[in-house]
Amino acid sequence: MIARGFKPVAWVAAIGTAALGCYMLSLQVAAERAELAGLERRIVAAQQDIRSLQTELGTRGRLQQLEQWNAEVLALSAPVAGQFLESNLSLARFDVRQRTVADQAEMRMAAAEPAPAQPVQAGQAAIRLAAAPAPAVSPAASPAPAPALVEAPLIRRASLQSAPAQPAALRLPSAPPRRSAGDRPTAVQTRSARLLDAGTLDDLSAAAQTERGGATGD
Amino acid sequence: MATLAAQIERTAPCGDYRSGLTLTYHRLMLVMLLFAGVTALIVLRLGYLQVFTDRSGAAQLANPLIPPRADIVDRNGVALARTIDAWSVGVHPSRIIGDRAELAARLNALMPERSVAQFRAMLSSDSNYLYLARRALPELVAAVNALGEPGFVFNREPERLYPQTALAGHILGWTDFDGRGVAGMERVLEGRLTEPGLRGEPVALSIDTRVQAAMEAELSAAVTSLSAEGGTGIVLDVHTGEIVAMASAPTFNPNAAGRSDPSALYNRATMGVYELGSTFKPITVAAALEAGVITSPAQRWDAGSPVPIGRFRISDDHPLGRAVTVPEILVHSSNIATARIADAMGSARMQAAFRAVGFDEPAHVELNERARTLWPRDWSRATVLTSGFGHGVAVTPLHLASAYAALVNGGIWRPATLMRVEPGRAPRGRRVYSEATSLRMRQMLRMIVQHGTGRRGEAPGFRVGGKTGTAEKVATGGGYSRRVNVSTFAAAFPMDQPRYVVLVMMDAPRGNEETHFLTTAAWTAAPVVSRVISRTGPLLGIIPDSARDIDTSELVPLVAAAGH
Repeated sequence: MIARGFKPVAWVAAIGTAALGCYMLSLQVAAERAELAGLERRIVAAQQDIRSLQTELGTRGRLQQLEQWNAEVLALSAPVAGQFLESNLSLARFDVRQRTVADQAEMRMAAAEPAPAQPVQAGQAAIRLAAAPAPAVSPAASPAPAPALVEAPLIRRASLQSAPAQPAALRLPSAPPRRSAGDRPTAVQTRSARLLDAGTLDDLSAAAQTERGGATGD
Repeated sequence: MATLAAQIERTAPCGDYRSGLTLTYHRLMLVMLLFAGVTALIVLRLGYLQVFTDRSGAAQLANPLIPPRADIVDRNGVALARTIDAWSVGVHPSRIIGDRAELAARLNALMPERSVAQFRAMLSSDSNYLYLARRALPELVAAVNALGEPGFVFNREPERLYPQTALAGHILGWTDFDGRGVAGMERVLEGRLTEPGLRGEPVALSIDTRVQAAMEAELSAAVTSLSAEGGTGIVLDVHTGEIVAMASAPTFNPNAAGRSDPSALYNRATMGVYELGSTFKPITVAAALEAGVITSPAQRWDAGSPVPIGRFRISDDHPLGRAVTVPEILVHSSNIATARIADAMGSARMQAAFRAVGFDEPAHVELNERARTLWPRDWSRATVLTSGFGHGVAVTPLHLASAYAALVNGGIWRPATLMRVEPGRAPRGRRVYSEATSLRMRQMLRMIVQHGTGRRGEAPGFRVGGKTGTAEKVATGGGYSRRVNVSTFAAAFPMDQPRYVVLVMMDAPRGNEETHFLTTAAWTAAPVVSRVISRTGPLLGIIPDSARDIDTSELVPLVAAAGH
């Protein structure tokens, strides 16, 4: 009885709640939209800022200003013909440093370095090795074969930075036995892949230190 | 409503009470429905507005990003002209409440470009609004605002800014106070820059800012050190006709074009017509090769004695005193032998040769600032002979650059353009010289730099080839002045595969110790070309290489080692 009496009230309450819910929802949407519009406005303002800052930067760093700074302070001049190197070969020829024992130790390894990129060159390197006097090749660790090997690989080594080369040089004492063409490219590949890894930087510096120690030991 | 019901009752006092009541109910219901209907209409309308009105305002918000005038950029996208929001300071004279005389004195202290009296006249004028300063710096705006006068107003207005200041000012031109282009590319591109649909997209010119800067720097340094009246430098892509750099000294700042020296606004590259002297000789020789007048490079032309025409005699600065081969004519720049070639060509063929490279028309370029050439009205024998070595026909430096492009690029003449040309979209142009003639000319131009007058134009490794030209300037009183020259060096590089023409012209250089007070092109214009090529060659993608060069071995034996 009482329930029947309150039925309209319940209806009104239900409809009221539903309407309120709908209204709240629409209010929510409106608020979101307003926020979105605000964000868009901020984006536009930021883009305008970027544009004006770019303009300011471009104006302050205009070429005439740079020219003036160059004339007053930097005195940079255009590179001349001799400073452009066309190939690795000319780059190697460009290297006029005094060769040290340590450099020679590095050079041995460098012949292996271009092998993964250009298998043909690996073949050439092998041929050069074969052309070297036969008795000189066999005593792997002795310093005697080094000069014979130096000539050809020297050319290739210079294009590479000495830092990545060093750990490879360290490994060399174990490398000569595997000199037969078969498995070497893969070995080198894994090595260079590891070298490219940024995480091995500590490894490299440690290796460089030991290597330096080894060189003085020689 | 009550009255309505009462009236009904009164009009039907004796009728059925029930039916009267029903009628009243019906009427009440009708009124209620009316109210409900109106309310529903309002609710629906509100709902409609709620749902369908786009309140994000994206359409209005996107607009500020589109500038009122499109940007102009160089071929690599570096901004050359932009529109920024600048401050302007204005005044409503009628709304001023402070002491006008004192305000005028204070304004003069802030903006010394106007006198106190001028400011006082402005502040007490009858007009509704006056600009005190346009494109004002924020500091100035703050200072004027600190005066606390309500009559001053500060607005943000779109202003054209040229971030590179004087760089390429002659090409860009400038805009007036209403933002309309009045000169240069601003004027040419007016429609494109203001078109609503395209304003957001910058317009790319063919200019390379870095090359333009190098050319302007080297040119103005040379003009200053040689005390020249002016100068111009052009770098032109030989395969597309794109102008990569075009400088004219003295320069002006397009940000304040009105305040610059009027003579600086003059673009010598397209407006100045000059008799460009010996730089015409390669054109004459190429035309003679084309026409079959020169049958072989070994053919000898008499340069032993001056050629008399009427009262004048055509002579050489350094007389060779013998018959010379064709490469020798160019290497030693013999006027006599060139005049003989022109004589053999005859009037009709010489005219045709010059018309072929457009010397009878204004320069082919977008700019409105270009002059008509001085094309001789009657082609007498004297005109024909002197035109062979660049006197009597006056053209702009841009004409000559286009002609040299045709000489070296395989023989195709193309109009010069300041708009960037997409790869593969180069205009077809017209064939002026055969491939063989072009190759021959490349060899001989290279030999001029290797063995002849253009030695100072060499840039090691860049395989430069070119021709010097020192013309005597027409003096104010008429006749030629020996001391006042127009010195030009027109070059192309790399000669084994030409990519760019570089032309430098110095107007009336005076010389200095370094040039031994010589004003010839070899001492004035050629070193500028050499420096510009050394600086910009790598930027343009040409790597200097000492191991490479054009093969001139078949022509070298034809040039006798001269004492000069």
